[in-house]
Amino acid sequence: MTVSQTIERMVAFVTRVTSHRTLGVGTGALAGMGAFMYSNEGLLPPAVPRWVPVVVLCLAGVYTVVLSTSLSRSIRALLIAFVTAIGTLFLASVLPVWVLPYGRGGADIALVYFLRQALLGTLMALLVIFLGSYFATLFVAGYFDW
Amino acid sequence: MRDGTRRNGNRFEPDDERATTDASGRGHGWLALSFVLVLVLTGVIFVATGQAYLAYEQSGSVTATVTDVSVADGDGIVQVRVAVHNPTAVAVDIEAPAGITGRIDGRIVARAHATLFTERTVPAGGNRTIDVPLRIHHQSGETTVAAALDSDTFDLSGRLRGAIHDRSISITIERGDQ
Repeated sequence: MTVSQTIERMVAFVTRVTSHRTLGVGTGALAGMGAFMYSNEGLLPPAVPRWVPVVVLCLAGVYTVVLSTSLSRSIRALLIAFVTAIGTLFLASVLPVWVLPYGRGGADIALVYFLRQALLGTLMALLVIFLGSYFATLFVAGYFDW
Repeated sequence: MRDGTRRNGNRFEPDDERATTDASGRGHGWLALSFVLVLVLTGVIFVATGQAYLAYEQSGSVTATVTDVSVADGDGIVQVRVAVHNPTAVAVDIEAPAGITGRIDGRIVARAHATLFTERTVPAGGNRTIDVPLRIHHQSGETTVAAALDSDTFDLSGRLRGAIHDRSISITIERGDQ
């Protein structure tokens, strides 16, 4: 009884909190993390299967549609999500430059290297998988008069 | 199934509208909850991956120092003991020797073989002593190598191939005090 009430309350809270901005930042963070893991597949913890990053990227696209209450909100959420995703990915990729003790010249070279790596590995992941799953879900949802 | 939804197929009818929002509101909440769950789980894996990413970029600070070189009688093997230090936050697997050779006067007399090597893991922020057996090329070489070790003319060089999760790293073997 109390457990189900608590769950109901949590659900109500989460629903209230999920505006399109919150949603965009959330799915964007999800997509960004997914893209980072996608481009650094070999560094995933050994217990984690290799398809996890792809599934995460797909889910980010799906959630951007199904958690929105209308088409225009979903599009706004997607735009925010895309910017957030790119930000998350680039920050995560460039992090070593700030955390590790590079020399000044080394940091410059490393920065360019990390940015290029992030750009190459990620535009592919973000554009194809994240946007792809977003539009696919949108098509299916639209077909069924969502 | 909801009878009202079936009867009023048109979603713009007010009665049906209420039914739809009610239904989607409930499902929406559970969806949102599942989303938060996915976000948290992904966050955990993401942090672990990021840690390995940092460790990989830091892998140049993993060191391998020769601590002991010895020859046993009869088996044609030079036993090289290497102390590997891993200062990173992720364990490093030492998978194979890469071009480790022993030379006397620039001539290669012994070579490490992957088949003789046992894979070992160096814990995060820790040390591990690893034995690298080198096979001596000629049967009569044992005494030569032993003599070279005594007179300190036995040169050792090469690398160890390691890995952080699935990504390869290379560690150059340095000579220490023997």
